[in-house]
Amino acid sequence: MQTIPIRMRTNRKTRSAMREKFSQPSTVVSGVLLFLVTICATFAPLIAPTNPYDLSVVSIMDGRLAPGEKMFDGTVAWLGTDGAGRDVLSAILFGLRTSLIVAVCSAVIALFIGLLVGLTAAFFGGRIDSFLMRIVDIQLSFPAILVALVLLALLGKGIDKVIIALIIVQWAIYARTVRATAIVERRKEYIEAATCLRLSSFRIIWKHLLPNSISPLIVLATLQTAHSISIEATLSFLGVGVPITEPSLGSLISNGFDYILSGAYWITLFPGIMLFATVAAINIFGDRLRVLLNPRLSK
Amino acid sequence: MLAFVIKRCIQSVVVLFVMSLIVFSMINLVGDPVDMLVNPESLPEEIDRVRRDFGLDQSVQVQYWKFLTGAVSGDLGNSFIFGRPALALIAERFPATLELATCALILAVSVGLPLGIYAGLNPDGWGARIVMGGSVLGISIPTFWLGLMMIIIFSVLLGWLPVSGRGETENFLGIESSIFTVDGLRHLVLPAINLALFKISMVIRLTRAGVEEVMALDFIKFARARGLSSPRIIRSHLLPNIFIPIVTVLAIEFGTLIAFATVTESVFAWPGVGKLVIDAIVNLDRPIVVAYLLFVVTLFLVLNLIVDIIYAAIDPRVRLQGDR
Amino acid sequence: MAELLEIKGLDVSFFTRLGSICAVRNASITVKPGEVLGIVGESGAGKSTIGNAIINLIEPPGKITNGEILFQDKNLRTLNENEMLNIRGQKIGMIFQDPQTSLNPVRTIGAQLLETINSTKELFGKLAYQNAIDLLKSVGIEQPEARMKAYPHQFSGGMRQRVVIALALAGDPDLIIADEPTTALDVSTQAQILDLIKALCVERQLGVIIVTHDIGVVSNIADRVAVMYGGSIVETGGVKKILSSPDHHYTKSLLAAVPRGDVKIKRFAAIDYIEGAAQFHKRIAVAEHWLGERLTDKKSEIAIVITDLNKRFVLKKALFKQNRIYNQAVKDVSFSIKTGETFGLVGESGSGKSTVARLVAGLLSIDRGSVKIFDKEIANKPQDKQVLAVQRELQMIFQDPFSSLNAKMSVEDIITEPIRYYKTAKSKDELNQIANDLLDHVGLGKKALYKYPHEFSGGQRQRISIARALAARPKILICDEPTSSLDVSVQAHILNLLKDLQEELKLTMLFISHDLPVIRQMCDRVAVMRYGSICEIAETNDLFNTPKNAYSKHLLGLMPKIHTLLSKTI
Repeated sequence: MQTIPIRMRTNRKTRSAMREKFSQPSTVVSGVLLFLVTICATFAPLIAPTNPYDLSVVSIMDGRLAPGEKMFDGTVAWLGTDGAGRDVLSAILFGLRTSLIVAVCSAVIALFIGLLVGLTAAFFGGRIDSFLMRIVDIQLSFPAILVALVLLALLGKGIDKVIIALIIVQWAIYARTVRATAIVERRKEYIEAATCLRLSSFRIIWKHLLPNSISPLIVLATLQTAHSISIEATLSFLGVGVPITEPSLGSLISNGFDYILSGAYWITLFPGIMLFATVAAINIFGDRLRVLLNPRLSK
Repeated sequence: MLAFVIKRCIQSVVVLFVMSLIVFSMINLVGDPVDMLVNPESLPEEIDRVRRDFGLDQSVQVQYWKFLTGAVSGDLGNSFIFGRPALALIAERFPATLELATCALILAVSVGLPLGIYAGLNPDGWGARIVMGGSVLGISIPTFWLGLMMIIIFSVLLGWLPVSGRGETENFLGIESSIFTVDGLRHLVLPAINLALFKISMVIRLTRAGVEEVMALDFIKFARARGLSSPRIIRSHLLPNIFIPIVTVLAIEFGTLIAFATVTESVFAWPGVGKLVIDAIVNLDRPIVVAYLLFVVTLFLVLNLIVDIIYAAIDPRVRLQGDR
Repeated sequence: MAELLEIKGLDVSFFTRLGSICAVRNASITVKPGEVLGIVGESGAGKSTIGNAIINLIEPPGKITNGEILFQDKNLRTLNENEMLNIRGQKIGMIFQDPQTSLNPVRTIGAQLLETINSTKELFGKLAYQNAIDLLKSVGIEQPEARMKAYPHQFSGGMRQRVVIALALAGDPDLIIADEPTTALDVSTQAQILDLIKALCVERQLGVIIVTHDIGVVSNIADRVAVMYGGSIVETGGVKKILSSPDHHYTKSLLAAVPRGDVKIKRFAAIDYIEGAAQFHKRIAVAEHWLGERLTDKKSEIAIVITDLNKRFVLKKALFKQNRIYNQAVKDVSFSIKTGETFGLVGESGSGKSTVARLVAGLLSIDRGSVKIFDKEIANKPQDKQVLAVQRELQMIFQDPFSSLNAKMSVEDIITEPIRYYKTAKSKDELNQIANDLLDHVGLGKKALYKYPHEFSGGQRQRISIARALAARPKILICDEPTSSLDVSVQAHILNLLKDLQEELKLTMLFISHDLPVIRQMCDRVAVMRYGSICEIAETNDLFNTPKNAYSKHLLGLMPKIHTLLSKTI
């Protein structure tokens, strides 16, 4: 009983520690960057100076303008133009949009599938568990980039195909993580207590197992989103992902690949920096989140 | 141990068979390879001839059966583009990939491990913060873009290193490799660093997490309480405990390095299997893709088996299933 | 005789952003060679901190802020880290609580012993090896040559703790600090380890400090005792004096809270000294309340009948049945519990007592045998409506208060869940009223309703668990070691609460514990379990006074005899 005052104190301590961790410069910078990136991607059509995929506006005469030069219609191409005369800045904003849509869509759907599979495996155990986990094991023994590459080789190009490939690549990671957490939680006594109350399996999974298994998943989803942005860009760069006619950061860089030897560095440099900054911001943010949600620190 | 190996080998064959089935049936759903093989303006008779020559006129089941019987005897069909056995093409290109992946792995371990241990032992120091910050950037930077930037900086702007290709190779003790010639090394430096950077960051993070976890355990405290010096505790209590998970992870990571080499090889025009398969995917060169897949699946199954054996060999707590 | 260790006015504080917390305040103790000093106190009393302070191994942000630690007339506080290295191991040895985690799992115990001998005694090669063998022999490990090559996981818990002791002795220290050395061990092993420590202490003229929460341990081994409460040492003296006529009020309350093994008393003596323990019990009149609504339901004389119950777990999976390896956790167990009775199951860890509880509660599937609850067979009929209805009348209280509550639910949600799920309340208002009453009844108060489990201490969480079980209006309560992770003073409160509830609600109880005195205080009849089978079933008094089975006798013989020392005071 007399541990109460001490416990309360640690509690307050953790809370203020959380505040301190949130106010670290890296967290703030990555958080702000992440916010800006999301805004830019969401409102790309409103923010972008030109629509780089409107063929009536794009003119080949503006091809390969250096950053800061004026285009034919008078707009300044702050980040230059590419070989076809598209404004790189506008293309980046549109590309970011595609990249984020692909990453977020695939992360959400894969997370959902993984949650379903992982919780089922953990709760029912036995054969269902070993069967599901065997599939997960086999899938995860192959690197994501390879599986995605093969799938796209089979499915062909397109945003929808990339999303499908990324879901197939990712669901198993979520499933394994959920199962690992849920199986630890499942053995805890509050689940036994709920079983004693004869609640339905669905209710036990939904109200008891799920809320306690979800925090590692939040961190994982963040880091996976960064990872899938990276994979999507890589695939598009290799020419099997988003087709070159669709704006995506990867296809923009791939587009600039042909010009690097001729000195038009900006076509690859700026989309790359955007890609790097986005992925890094998400990763740093995810790392912080991992520290904050670590059960060892919150107890 | 033997029982375990046999059991795993049987499992592997089953996985291989299932994989071949999936890959073969799916690959038949996309595109008609004949379109790639003949001039669009050729006569119908010409198209039929090509179709017959490559056995593409038969049903999928027959094609698969022929493929399977061939595969068992090591024949995975001829490349549509090169007109040569697919497996031979892969075998020819593989040493280049292996060389690249090995160099990258050595780099990753020799740089990542010490940095990770350092960061784990001094978690609050400035050095550790820089290392960890660097590692976050390292896992965030897209490999292919980094490759392009390296080419722009070191080859185009500074002109220090060659842009692409593998350079001269030399045979030494039966190994044909570019690490034995100066030119070869100059060609190897950029791709190897490019491929290694992600893994370096990963090894740093893994190692640091391992060090922090082990250092908090009771047996470290007990070792300190019985008067062992810090270097001794690190050497005989910390390191053996962090090496076990790291060694096993590295074996798997070697496989992912070979997979990731496709990206680096494409950027640096490195003549390895990765580049071969990317070209094959773009050109719908079905036999190469299938052969590459089965090759990689086998490689991974073997690597996984090796990991389990290493694990049992170095961790006294593990006894393999089926092991009496 | 000169003092080996003398601590004067020691203060230890933990510095956090919100100021410092004083963990040890003005503590002074002395230890002579060949003497065992017991430091006893409940969790959070600061007793382990003293042990760590002596060898300067306090985890940051903790710091010694004041006082002197004189060891062989040297002030340890003035030594630097290098000089401390020569003290640790060579002059002062340390033994930790859990032998499982104290040893490096991936190195042989030989390697760990040899490196310790190398660095503390600077003996190498053959000499070091011989020394290691001698050490293992001296702590009672047979075939030391063969065991040198073994890894920690190949030893049992007790053997591992012997290895830990050998390691602590490797540098021939003059003082041994043992921090809860037997807490993670079984009763029989506990006694052996304590005997070993005592023997080594006498034989080698070591000073020994035993830090423990267990007064039984102190009474068995200590020469002198220091009682700690809230960071201060409240009382020091000879073990007989402290246990039979304590001066300080806290010591008196503490001793009163220790369950007696010699005689059954109705309730545990009131423990009013401990902060927050004087709970405000606004109890409800059960007979007219929702809780007691079904008290008058007709039911049979016998609540639970178990016949030939069997359960085994697969230890090693295999494709073919004959290759599988099983652990027979429960073997041909039969007993019956009368309605309104408290039936105890007692045994050491691994005896299968918790498995029996889980089989009865329907948490595990039954391999063979029958379990009847109120004449209804429940064995492996998970979906039968009638079975479910019967099973709802059986609720369980678990051992670990930290994992038995869903951390993501508020106390209100936890308690009202069964009522809402089965719609046993007529309205929202009634639901709230019931939740309030339940919390009052278990001694927590309404304020607890909107909090989350992490805001409570272990004892309070156990009260929440009890309230949750009551919300299902059970007729049978299974208590699986409900107090074994609690401090004795808290234990006394929880056990009193359970006794009251049983009386008011006419509950039938299956009470599982490894702790014989607790069993004696709580149960009407007892079954002693070992290796999955029942050795003896008897009335509690008969078992404690005239045990028939050899194993029962053995267990009773290990029971601490503290109350024979202090019987006069109560």
